[in-house]
Amino acid sequence: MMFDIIMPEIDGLELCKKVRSRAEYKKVPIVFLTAKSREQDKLKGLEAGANLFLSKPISPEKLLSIISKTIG
Amino acid sequence: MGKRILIVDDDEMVRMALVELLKLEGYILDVAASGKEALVKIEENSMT
Repeated sequence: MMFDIIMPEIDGLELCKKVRSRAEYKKVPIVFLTAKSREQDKLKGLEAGANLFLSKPISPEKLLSIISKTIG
Repeated sequence: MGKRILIVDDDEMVRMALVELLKLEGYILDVAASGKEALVKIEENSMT
């Protein structure tokens, strides 16, 4: 799963926590792809249960390589 | 069969770009424009 963070109503962090709270989604790979890039944002993302935190902009090549490593 | 990826972004341009890119790689894409929509999709069908 790939989530943006800055979204109205339920943001990506909240979404990630909600997804992770479900037993069947404990291990599904979750990647944040967001305009946020501060260290503290990254930390929050990982604390919410994500496997990876990527900041936009990102090159398509880099994104694909990371996705294939994370998701398979 | 390709792996499924759920993309959640409120920016349509970002969603479209990611779908196009990942489709070429053989992934099966699901999209949601909000956290709410994503939760509904997750509820409806298993994304694992």
